[in-house]
Amino acid sequence: MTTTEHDLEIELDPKPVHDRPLLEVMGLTKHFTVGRGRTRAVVRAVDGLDLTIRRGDTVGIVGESGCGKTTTGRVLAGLESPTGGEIVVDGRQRVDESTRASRRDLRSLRRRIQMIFQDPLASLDPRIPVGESIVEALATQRIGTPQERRARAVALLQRVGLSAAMADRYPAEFSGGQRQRIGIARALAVGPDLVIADEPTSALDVSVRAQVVNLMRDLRDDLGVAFLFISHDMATVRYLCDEVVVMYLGRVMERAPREALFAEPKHPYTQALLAAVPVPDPVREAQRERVVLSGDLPSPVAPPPGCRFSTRCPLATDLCRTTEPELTPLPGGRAAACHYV
Amino acid sequence: MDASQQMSPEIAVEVRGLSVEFPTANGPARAVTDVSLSVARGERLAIVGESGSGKSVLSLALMGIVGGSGTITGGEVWLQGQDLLALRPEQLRRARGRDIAMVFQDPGTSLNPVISIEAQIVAPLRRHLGLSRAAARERALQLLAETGLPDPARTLAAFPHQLSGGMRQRVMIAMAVACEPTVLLADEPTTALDVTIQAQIVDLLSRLSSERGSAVVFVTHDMGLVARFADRIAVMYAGRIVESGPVLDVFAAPQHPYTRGLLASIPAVDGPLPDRLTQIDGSPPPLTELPAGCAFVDRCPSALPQCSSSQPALTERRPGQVAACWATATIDVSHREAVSA
Ligand SMILES: Nc1ncnc2c1ncn2[C@@H]1O[C@H](COP(=O)(O)OP(=O)(O)OP(=O)(O)O)[C@@H](O)[C@H]1O
Ligand SMILES: Nc1ncnc2c1ncn2[C@@H]1O[C@H](COP(=O)(O)OP(=O)(O)OP(=O)(O)O)[C@@H](O)[C@H]1O
Ligand SMILES: [Mg+2]
Ligand SMILES: [Mg+2]
Repeated sequence: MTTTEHDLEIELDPKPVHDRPLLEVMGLTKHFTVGRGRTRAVVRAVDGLDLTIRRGDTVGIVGESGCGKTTTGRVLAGLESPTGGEIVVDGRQRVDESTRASRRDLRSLRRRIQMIFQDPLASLDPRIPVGESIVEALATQRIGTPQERRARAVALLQRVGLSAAMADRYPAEFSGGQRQRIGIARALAVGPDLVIADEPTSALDVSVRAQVVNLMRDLRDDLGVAFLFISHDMATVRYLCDEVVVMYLGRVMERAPREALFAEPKHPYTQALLAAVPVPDPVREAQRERVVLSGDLPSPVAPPPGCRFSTRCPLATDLCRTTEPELTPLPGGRAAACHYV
Repeated sequence: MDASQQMSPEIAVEVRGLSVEFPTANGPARAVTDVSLSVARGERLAIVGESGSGKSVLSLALMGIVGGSGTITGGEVWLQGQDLLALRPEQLRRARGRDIAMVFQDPGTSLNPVISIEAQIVAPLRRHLGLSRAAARERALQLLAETGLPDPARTLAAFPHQLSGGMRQRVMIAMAVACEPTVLLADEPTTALDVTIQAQIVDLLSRLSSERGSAVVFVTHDMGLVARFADRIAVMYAGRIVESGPVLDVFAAPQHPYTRGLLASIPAVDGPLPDRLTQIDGSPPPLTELPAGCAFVDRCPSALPQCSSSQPALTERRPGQVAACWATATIDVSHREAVSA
């Protein structure tokens, strides 16, 4: 791939002089109220989440289906407002868009934090050529003159391995992997500091997935963009991420540098998760002992008292069933929320 | 007829010489070309391959469905001895759900967004199994629990947008297995699921095939899942099956260069981390401009002159394993010992 980042002025703001993390999240909650009358219930989708992302880092979020990963991503991207907690971007408290509807702030936030989804078709307008989609994203952010926008759109498409001629084609004319690269190009167009990628590769075949993952790695190295990578694909997380956050039922169970997490998972839930990853080798698969988590599946409508994982944890004691463990720092830049690590 | 036929396992579904085309501005797009396959009762076949290679179109055709303006331009589909393409619409409707059921690739769009999950799941249960409303509801709750959904009652009452991606996917699976169909088609049934839930779904599908003798055909990009679950694998490229055979043999000694590239692209959850993931560079030719020869030729590391001019046929490489490749047709018998050892 010919690299064209030299003519691509991605960084629009001067780099901040302080060295605070790009994003700090403390005690974030997002609760949904569902049903009405007798069936009214509160779904605690995200329920006290702490997270830190430094500039240029790639952080992975993994965890059970329904544990609140997408909701976290949507709240951080400003697509949904939180019900509680703090979000600090570059040392500055993020204004709550519902109370102080400062349009400029929200627009600047939307520019700095971009989100891409599993299905890139959902975010690309089928009636507009893909180059035009990128131009529109730039226009919304009032970036550049019309000619500059067009040139930048083409440069971005080339950067993700597509040709200039493809700018005039419609989304339906591309394969899944190409569309995902277009989605990435569009997210990058406005010069974000952080791209939240929600299962961006899970609809792709393994070889196309490798293309997209290699691209994300190059972009991080060349442009210094931080990624929050939400995925069920543990092998790709291991390859791509600097740090991995393990969520369960709306909270963080464990956070650790990549190597440490995969080599030595501390939290019993992380251990169960890694043990369940199927290996792409039928001989080894046939011989493997399967650890199946048993016990009651907890609901985000009524999280169990004490540790959220206690209903399925093979090591749970009475303490676990009554007292919720805090996310506690451990040596090696990692942390776990378990009474017994 | 003769003894060998009596001994062969009962065929649940069989496709002979199937071709499907879609009209486009640039001429017909040949999404599926001359595909033949058969699946026995209780057998588990995995279909893998490049994005856009025709996996979904093929699995829909097994249900007698062709999307949009597509047409079946040739071939036959036999479901338990009936010619599916000759059935009248109401016969086809009856067969679907009861004899053959499908988990569609995108649960986001195949669930009706304005109808509650309860209404969507209970209606087919009543129609196909003749259950009362209360009994159908009971059965639905039980099915949802079997797919590992934490609170089946909340899920039933919810609308699709109130569920996470993985929750929607499990609703689709519950609906498809509800009537214990003879043939279950599952198009990427676990992409939105974490590995522990995936293991549970695999158990559910395994029970369906081993206890009820259902044939399971599933499309996936997850080679770990193939290794864990499938008996046989079929690899598609640009609308054709380019290789198929027992999972053990194909993983141990892939015969088509595309299969080799695919298997080499998988990142591992353990062992040393590569600097870059192996990828197959380039992309397949447009389906409107398929070459006279092998469609993989431009990306193939072992291409020979004849590959661009003449289409290789599937030839047997080892009992039950076939591949369509000129370059490897004559070499490579060396792996046989490795596999049987
Ligand atoms: N708009 C909504 N209204 C009500 N509940 C919601 C809504 N969106 C999400 N939820 C609930 O919040 C919880 C978390 O959902 P979320 O989509 O964040 O999970 P996830 O971790 O991304 O799961 P998956 O891996 O399956 O995508 C789920 O229980 C879901 O039902
Ligand atoms: N309704 C339709 N109208 C026009 N073209 C279609 C239609 N459905 C599928 N196609 C085309 O047929 C080809 C095969 O598509 P298919 O969905 O079967 O691919 P796939 O192997 O399932 O890919 P993926 O892994 O991305 O799901 C693609 O080029 C697609 O654009
Ligand atoms: Mg999600
Ligand atoms: Mg498909």
